[in-house]
Amino acid sequence: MKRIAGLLLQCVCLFGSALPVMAHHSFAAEFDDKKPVKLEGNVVRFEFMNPHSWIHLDVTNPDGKVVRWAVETGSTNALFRRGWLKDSLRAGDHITVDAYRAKDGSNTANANTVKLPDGRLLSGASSLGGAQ
Amino acid sequence: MEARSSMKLAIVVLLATAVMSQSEFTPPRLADGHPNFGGIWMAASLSAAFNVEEHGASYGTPAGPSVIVDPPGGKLPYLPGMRERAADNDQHRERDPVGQCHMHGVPRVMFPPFPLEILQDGNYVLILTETEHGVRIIPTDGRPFVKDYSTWNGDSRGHWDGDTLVVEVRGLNGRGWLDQAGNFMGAGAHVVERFRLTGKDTLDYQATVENPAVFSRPFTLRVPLRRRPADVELLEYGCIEGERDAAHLPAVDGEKK
Amino acid sequence: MIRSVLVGLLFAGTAWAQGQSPDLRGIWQVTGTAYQNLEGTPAQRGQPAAKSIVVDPSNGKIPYRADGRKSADRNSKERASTDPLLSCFQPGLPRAVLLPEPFQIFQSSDRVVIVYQHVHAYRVIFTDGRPHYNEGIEFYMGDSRGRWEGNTLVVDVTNFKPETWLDNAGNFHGDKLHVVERYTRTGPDTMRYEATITDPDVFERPWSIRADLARHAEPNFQILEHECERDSKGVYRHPPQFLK
Repeated sequence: MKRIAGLLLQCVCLFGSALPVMAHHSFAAEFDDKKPVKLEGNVVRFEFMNPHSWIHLDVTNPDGKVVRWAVETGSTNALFRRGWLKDSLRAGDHITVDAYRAKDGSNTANANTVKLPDGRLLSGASSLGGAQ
Repeated sequence: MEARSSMKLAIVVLLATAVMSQSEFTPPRLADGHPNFGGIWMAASLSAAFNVEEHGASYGTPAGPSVIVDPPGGKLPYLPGMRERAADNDQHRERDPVGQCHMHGVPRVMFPPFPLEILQDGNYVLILTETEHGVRIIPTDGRPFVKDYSTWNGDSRGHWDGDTLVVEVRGLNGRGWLDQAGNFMGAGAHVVERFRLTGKDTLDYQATVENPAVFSRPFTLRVPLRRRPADVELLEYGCIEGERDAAHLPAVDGEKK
Repeated sequence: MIRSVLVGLLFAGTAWAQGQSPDLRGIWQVTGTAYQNLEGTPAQRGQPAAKSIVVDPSNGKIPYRADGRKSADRNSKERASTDPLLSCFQPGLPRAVLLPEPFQIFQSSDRVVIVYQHVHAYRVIFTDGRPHYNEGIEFYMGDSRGRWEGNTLVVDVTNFKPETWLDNAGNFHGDKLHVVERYTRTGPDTMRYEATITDPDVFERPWSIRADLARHAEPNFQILEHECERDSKGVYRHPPQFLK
């Protein structure tokens, strides 16, 4: 029987284990914690990779226009240890992401939390969020 | 009468031994008699990865004390002008070479927020870091350093001082930062590390850094490492393969020297 | 020839008789140029011809399904822009073993670690019987679990990312790649490397390669740091002394 490795896996939860996780570079290099965004939309593609995984999301604006966002999460390693798998998100999944926008104003954001279709709330594993 | 006093002596000796073993840890040993550092480790506190000096919290960064144990006061003994350069790095964190998938350099490589593995094999101590699938191969057979070597993780030579592993590092290219806040060591830095087991799951790590071009005197930092739970394994960490931040992180041609 | 065989047997027998795992330690490097093309190369540009190292099937050809060979040929033509190795990706397997760069083998009681000089890729091969990861994660260098069979380290490698190539000629695989390697020391400074490669999406059947490794016995030889750098356009490049 194949094994799920890593520290967690009983608790796939927001403030999970004491294992803190961080992007390989500083959040502040690219993102602005004064620019929170809440993105709700359908997954186009989920790239489960290092140094960050990426969720490509189609978000429908209030005016009806559909905008493509790229949401960055923590490393695969961080996510895997928190219960994510390479197919945790599939095209068409409807999710909500609480994130912080890129400093350059592009449709790029760094995920704080991701709410999955089954209602589970997962940490985006990009930062400590002050919980340490 | 004699039996009773020799029993008292035995009790005294036993008590003394018990006290001694509580204050000094006897590490498990390999067949060659050296302490066994093998296993998966990580800094007990990750705040040093963000800033080796005392710092407050901000989003994505926990607050933390200084890990500089010498000089007293916990501040890096920068020469005039050097702290300004670090502050400039701090305002330009996109220049952090780790963000560009470079290995962390020594000592930064010993305390990132990711696990590392130590393995001893004969005349080698091997340190594998999950970040950047980094590697430090440390011979302990007394061989000379490589000449004209300028690299991210340096060239390391180890020897044993009792139960302490002492590692001298040369050949660092000086382009690495010391932490995410932009503190740096500069080209020509010379590092001496000391590794010692202080308990079943604790490893005392200290590094003394010397660079008369950047610092007014050598400094020493100390970051205790804690053993990770038994089921933790290093996971592959490809960085270059997946680096998509290129659009946001400009190509760095030459960090300020 | 007979003497070297006898030395090899004596060496192997001694290691086995000691009742411990065979000793694969050292800094090793493949002999030959199979990294250019597993199926062999004609003589070109001052380089002698190289034979195929594909030993099964016996015709020395990789048994692609369907349009596999067309895809490999296209890879080869477009190599300069599409070879993941040139983009500083970790090389994958068996390519990492066959590169013209050394690698070092370390052993402890429950694992064998191989550190490749090429972009400092490494593998931890657990030999304590723990199972592979589930399918939920993939690695460029795969997930390695090994066991000792007499004098041979047998390594089972799964969980590969599909993006790596098998050689410079663009021979490739899919995401169901499964590699079984066999490392057998044949003398103090020689080792035999064999690998059986399976991917039902890409190959008609499993196929195998064989190569010889030699130990670096030069005094104080060591693995050097091979780290890619971004050029002025932000593209990762190998330092020129390591480019092949």
